[in-house]
Formats: sequence, structure tokens, C-alpha cells
Amino acid sequence: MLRPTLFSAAFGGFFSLMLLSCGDDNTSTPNTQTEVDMAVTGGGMDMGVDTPGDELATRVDLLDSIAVNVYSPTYVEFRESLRTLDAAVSEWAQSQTDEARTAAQAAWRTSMTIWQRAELMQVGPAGAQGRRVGGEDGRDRIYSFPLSNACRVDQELVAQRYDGETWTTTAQLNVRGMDALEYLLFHTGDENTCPDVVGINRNGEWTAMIASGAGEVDKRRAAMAQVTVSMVAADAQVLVDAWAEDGVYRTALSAGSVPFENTKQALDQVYAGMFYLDRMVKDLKLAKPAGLSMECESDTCPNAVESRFANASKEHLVANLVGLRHVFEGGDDDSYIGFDDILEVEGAAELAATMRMKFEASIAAVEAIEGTLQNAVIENHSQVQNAYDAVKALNDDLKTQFVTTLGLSVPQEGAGDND
Amino acid sequence: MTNGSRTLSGLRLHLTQPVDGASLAAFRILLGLVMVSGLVRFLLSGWVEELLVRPSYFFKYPGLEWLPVWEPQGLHIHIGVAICAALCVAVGFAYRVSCLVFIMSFLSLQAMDMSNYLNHYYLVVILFSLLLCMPAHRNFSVDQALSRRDPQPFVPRWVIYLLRFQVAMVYLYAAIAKIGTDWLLYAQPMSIWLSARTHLPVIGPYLTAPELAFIMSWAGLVYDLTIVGFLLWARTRVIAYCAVLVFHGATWALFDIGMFPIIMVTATTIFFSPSWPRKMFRLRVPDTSLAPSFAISKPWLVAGVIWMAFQAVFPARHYFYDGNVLWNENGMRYAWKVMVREKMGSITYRVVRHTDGRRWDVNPARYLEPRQLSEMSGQPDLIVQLAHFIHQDFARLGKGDVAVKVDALVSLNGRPAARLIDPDVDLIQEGWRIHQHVLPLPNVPPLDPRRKGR
Repeated sequence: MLRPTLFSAAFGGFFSLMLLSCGDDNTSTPNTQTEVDMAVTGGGMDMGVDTPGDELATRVDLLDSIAVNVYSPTYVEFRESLRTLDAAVSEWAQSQTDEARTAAQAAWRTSMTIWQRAELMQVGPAGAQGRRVGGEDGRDRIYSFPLSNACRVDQELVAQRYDGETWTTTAQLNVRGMDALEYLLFHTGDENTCPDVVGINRNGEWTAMIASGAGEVDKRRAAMAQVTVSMVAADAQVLVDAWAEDGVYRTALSAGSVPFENTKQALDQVYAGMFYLDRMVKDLKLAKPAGLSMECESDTCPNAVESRFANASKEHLVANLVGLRHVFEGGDDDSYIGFDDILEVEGAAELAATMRMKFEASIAAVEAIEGTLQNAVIENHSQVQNAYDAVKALNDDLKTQFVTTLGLSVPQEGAGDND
Repeated sequence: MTNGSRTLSGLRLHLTQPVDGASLAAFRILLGLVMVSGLVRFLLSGWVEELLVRPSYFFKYPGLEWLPVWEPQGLHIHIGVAICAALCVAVGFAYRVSCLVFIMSFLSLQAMDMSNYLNHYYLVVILFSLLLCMPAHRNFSVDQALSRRDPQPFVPRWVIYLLRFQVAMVYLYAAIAKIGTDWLLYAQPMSIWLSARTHLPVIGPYLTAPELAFIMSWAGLVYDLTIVGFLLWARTRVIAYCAVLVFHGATWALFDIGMFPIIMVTATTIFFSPSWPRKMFRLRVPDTSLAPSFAISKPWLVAGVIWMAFQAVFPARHYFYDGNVLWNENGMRYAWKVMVREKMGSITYRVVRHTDGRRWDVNPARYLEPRQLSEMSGQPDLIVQLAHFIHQDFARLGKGDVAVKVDALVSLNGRPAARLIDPDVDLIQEGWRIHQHVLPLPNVPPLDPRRKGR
């Protein structure tokens, strides 16, 4: 009879401790806010949550808000901007004037700024095949950075395969998207970007093309740009349709339905999209040109900037951060439900506020870089370093407390069990 | 004869008394089949590819750096051998050799990458090691069917007690791991995990309630602390085993905890009476009064006592170290600290060339797969291991002799991220002494579920 007595004592002791702890927040790590909260509720187990379903609604609302107020309008805005770009490129193709080219360049900048916001939204068909739920490489088809390859575009200008009927289905990623378009619109002159050993130079094909007629290379650039814009528009339409009101993903994201297993996985996928900040924005777009990355062999690598021809790397970085902020806040309107609202619901309002401040600081630090990023990594390195540090600070929060507060799964860590 | 020596000889007599070996055989069969299914699941889930083929870098246990990671075909053969061995253990064929082959193959599979460590893999190795030393093949086995000797259905009582002791240690230390501020006063990480599982049908909407997180945290502690006692007491055993099924069923349904619940549900069958399988299947229960008494030699007795002492003390070693073990991980492994922390870090290695001060920031994602990165980001010894590899990689790339420091920001149970390791320390100068440079967990409480909705 000794054991039951001991167990009763153990039970009684622990439940007594629990009641004591709930009645008086007497922890070893005092928290002023907690003490205030407990005082307001009078202690006990009144946790101040109205119904058990509140948070579920908030998380589902978050996913709904991201689909409706962030993903869908961004893709629609991008596709609409392509109409202007298409018209401008067509005008350039016809007139071959500098004014028309400048107008096409301006239209590309507008479209690309929108797309840079969408870079943080690689969920569903925009995601990489085999790595994201429903991934169809949509993003890579529209923009292939860091695989961008101007020499490959030059090779296609010589081969003129873009005129063929099968081009839309056979064109490789690095000659079919906005990065190829950047090169076609912004690279002027008769030079190409390929080394001498590449066929078009070694065999004299490029020289022959230049010699075939005045302005031939620009004609071909414009012609290929026309085809490229229409391909990008078609790829953008796929994303617009997927996230349209009657599209598969718009409802699936918040319902956690097929192709998602559940809303947790859907939320993890949204988070996976936000991870772009880590590898792409911080490492590839800032650390590499600034010489902080192993991939940079010299002190700095100005040619590793994202936008070498349009010199829009800084603007792209700002757009990336704005895009991420939209996902974080659930859109560009304070009334929309975002991750910041979920953090507040979870009792982590300080983190939400801190991250909002770090968004502002990151954007300000990038905007503070004088001149182009390509020049700044040499002439104003400290400004680039500041931008990198600000982005890293934001990224650190995104990878740590943000994850442990919301119970998110880091992209692709799901293999295996836990205990 | 003194009172002490009389007690000892009485204890020895009690431990060597013959009991029906049926429950031990059932333990062997069930555990063997669980491991067969676990390893088949490992193959079918594509984890060979994800955990052992795709990574380009593997974390090594000290002293086991030589252990190779086979090519994919070799890995499949390796796992195939382990499956066959587990099956042989289950059916009781070439029992001791099969046990040994399973232990070696399973242990080496797990040791290929230290970041794959799981408490329940460690438990499996321990239980099979105990089985290796026990006559678990005397009943319901191919070995016994093929043997020309008379059936010997009895086993000494100590084998049952030893397995019970081992299972009890898991529960005891799992309970002790829960006795802390985070678990008891903030219901963390339970609250975080429950809040992230609102997608579950029916119960999902209720999982966000802070009250539930507190109830489940405390219930988990009470369960771990008391279940062994209730399983030992015959009058409560059936109800206690129902509680085992409910508890581990709930953890299996709620968390990505894999085989652990099934292993524990299997392991706790050892608390039933030694003849429970015969009673369940209405087989004849052998009369123990007809059984010959067993002897236990002194070396085996000493080995048993040492084993038990080790299992009783080793998991508690972190109490001899400074700081919070959930934070500094010093003594975290092999200590049955199951599912007691939600931890994630952001790690950046700061590599500085000695000759000119040139600095590189290295993202460990360059070397690691996401799961490895996730595991490594909160574990100082793994962080140091990768630092050494980065040092070697820089030498290989001809970038000169470098110092490798780390900016390791880690969040534990929803706390704001804090530095885990002194960022000024050159990790290359540190071997396994890294714990000297682990910074203390800031005096900040974890995420408080009572602040939900405010």
C-alpha cells in the first residue's frame, strides 16, 4: 500500500504546485508584461482568449490575406505591366529609335520592380519543381537569376532560334525571362559578352551578323525582346490564373487543401518563399558583390551584382524587401492580416514591432547606398556593408524567434523524425 | 552471516528465480518487428537519399571519423542487412548473431551523421544490447524449434527486471527533463507546438487554448513520473497500459515523433506478468516450481550493476555542468530529454585571414542540407565541427590560413534570439572545449501563452 500513497502524494504535490504557479506568477525570470497581464485577469487560468477557434481563424485568415492581398494582386500587377512593356518593345522593334528603346527600358524597370516583389512569393507553381509543393518552375521561367547568362542570349541572337515555332517550349531558362530581356534592352553597341573561345566569336558568326547590315544586331535584339515579352506574359498568366479568385491555389492555400496537405504545410510554404531573403538577397545580391562571400575571389566583385546592364540592383533589393514586408504584413494596407498580427496573437508583439523596425532599417540602409550598387561596392563599401548588416539582422529574426514562436518548419527540413 | 550479507544473498536468490520467458520472447518479437517496420519506413520515405546521400558533409562522432558513408547502393545493402537481422531477432533465428549484426548495422547507420541523433535510436541500441545478453530466444523462436535439446521456457527473473529498469530510466529522466520553468510555468514548447497544429481535424481549433498547453505539459510530467509505478502495480497495470496507449498515441498523432511512441508502447509490455503472451493466446503456462534454479556468476552480476549505475547516473551528468542544458546542450544527448525544446538558430561563420584581416561571411547552408542545418544551428559541438571543415575548405581553396569565428543567434522556446557562442573565439583553436565559450542563456522568459490574444 506504500506505492499508491506515494503516487497520491506526487499527484497532489504537483497539482498544488500548478495551482500555486497559476495564482502567483512567481517565476525565476520575472516578466513585467506577464505580471501586468496576470493582474488584469486576476491570475488563475483565465487566459483572456475568447474562443478556442480565434487563432485558427487568424492563421487561416493570414493565408487567405496573403493569397488575396499579396500574391494575386502582385501577379496581376506584373502581368498588367507587361502589356505596357510589350507595347513599348513592339514600338522599338518597329521604329528602332533611341526614344523607343528608352521607353522600353523604362517599361522594363517598372515590370521588373514589380517582379522583384514577387521573388519572395515562390509558392505553388512559381516554386521550384520538386522542392516546393506544386512547384512548376514558374519563377525561373520568368526570371532565372543567378543563372542569367548574357552570352547565351548573344548566341541565340546569332542562331535566331527565337523565330522558330518551338522556341516557347524549348528555350532554356536563361534566355527566356526578364533577365534576358534586361540584356536585350540595355546592352547597346555591337559587342557581345562571350569569350573568344565561344563559337560565335571563334567561328566569326557574330562578326558576320554585324556585317550583314547596319543595325542588324539591334533589330535582332528587338525581335528577340518581342518574343521574350510574350513568353514572360504567358508564364505570368499561369501564375495569375493559379491565384485568381477561381484559381486552384487561392482557396487551397487558406483551406490547406490539395496540393497542400494542410494549412500548416501551406504556412510553411509561405515561409519557404520568404527564405529568399537569406540565400538570394543577403548572400547573392549583397554579400557576393561586397566581397563577403566565398564565391568572390577578389576583395570585391562588382560584376556579381544582380542587374549589370540596367544598373537596377539597388532598386531590386528595395523591391525584394518591400515584397517581403507585404508578405509579413499581409499586404500594403494596415487592415490586412499578416504575420505581424499572428505574432501579436501569440503574445510576441515585441517581435512583430522589432521586425517592422528592421524592415524599415533594411530598406533605408539599401536606399542610403550612393550611386549604383556596382560602383558602391568599390567606392562606398561601408554603405553596402551597412545594408548587408541591416538585412542580416532582419534575416536573423526571420530564422530564429519568428520560427520558434510560430512553430514553423524551415524549408525542406522535414526529412526524418524528431524526439 | 550478517544481516547485510543475508539480504544480499536473498536478493540474489530472488533475481535468479526462474520465471516464464514468454514475455521476454514477446518483447523480442515485437521490438524486432517494430525495427523491421521502422527501417522499411526509412527506405520507403526516401530518407536514405535525404539524410545520407544528398548531404555533402557529415557530422562525425568523436573517434568515429573513420566511419564511411556508403554510396547509395551500399547504404541500401546496409539497411537491408539491418532489416534482415531485425527480422531474424523477431523470429529468433541465429538469435545472438542476429542481435549483434543488428546492433552493429543500426549503430553504424546512425553514427554516419551525428546530426541524425535521436533519443529513440539510442534506446533501440540499448534495448537490443540488453537482449543480446538475455536468453530471449528460449520461447517462440526458430532456434528453439530447431534445437535438439529439451525446451527450456524459463528465464531468470533479473532479465525482466533489467529491461523494466531500463524503460523506467527513460520515463524518469523524461520526467526530470520536464521539471523546469519553461515546461511548467510557461507550458513551452507545448504551447508553440499545439498552436502550430490547428489544422488537425476536430481538435484543431481547441489546440490554441493556453489552458490546454498547461494541462498537457503538466499531464506529460505526471505521466512520465508515475507511469512506471502504475505499470509495476498489478492492480493498476491494465489501466496504466491504456494510459500508455493514449499518451503515446496522442504524441504520435500530434507531433512528428516517428517511431518513439511505438517503441515505448512495445517496451512497456515488459511490465506485464511474465506469462502474459501465453494467457492471451490461451497457451499452457509452464509450472515454475518444476524449473531448475538459475545461477548468476559474479562477473555478470558486476556487469549488471555497472550497467544500471551507468544508466542511472549518466543522463544526469548535465547537473554537473553550468548553465541550462536546453540552451548549451552540454549533456543533452543520451539523457532522455525528449521533445522539451523548440530551438532554432541563424548561424554565420566569420572567417578572417590571419595575414591581412580579409573577412568572409560563410552561410553554413553552403555545406549542409536543411535538416542538418536546422539540427546544427542550436548545438555548439556541431557548430565547431563545421568550423573545422570550413577551415580545411579555405585551405583547399588556397585562401590562406584563417580564423573561423561564429555569429550564432539562437532562439529557445520563443525567446528573442541571443548569442550562443562568444563571437570573438576562434573555433579552430577549440576542440571539444567549446562549452567553455558558450554564453549563458539570457534571463528572459520564453514565449508566454498567457499573453495570447493581447
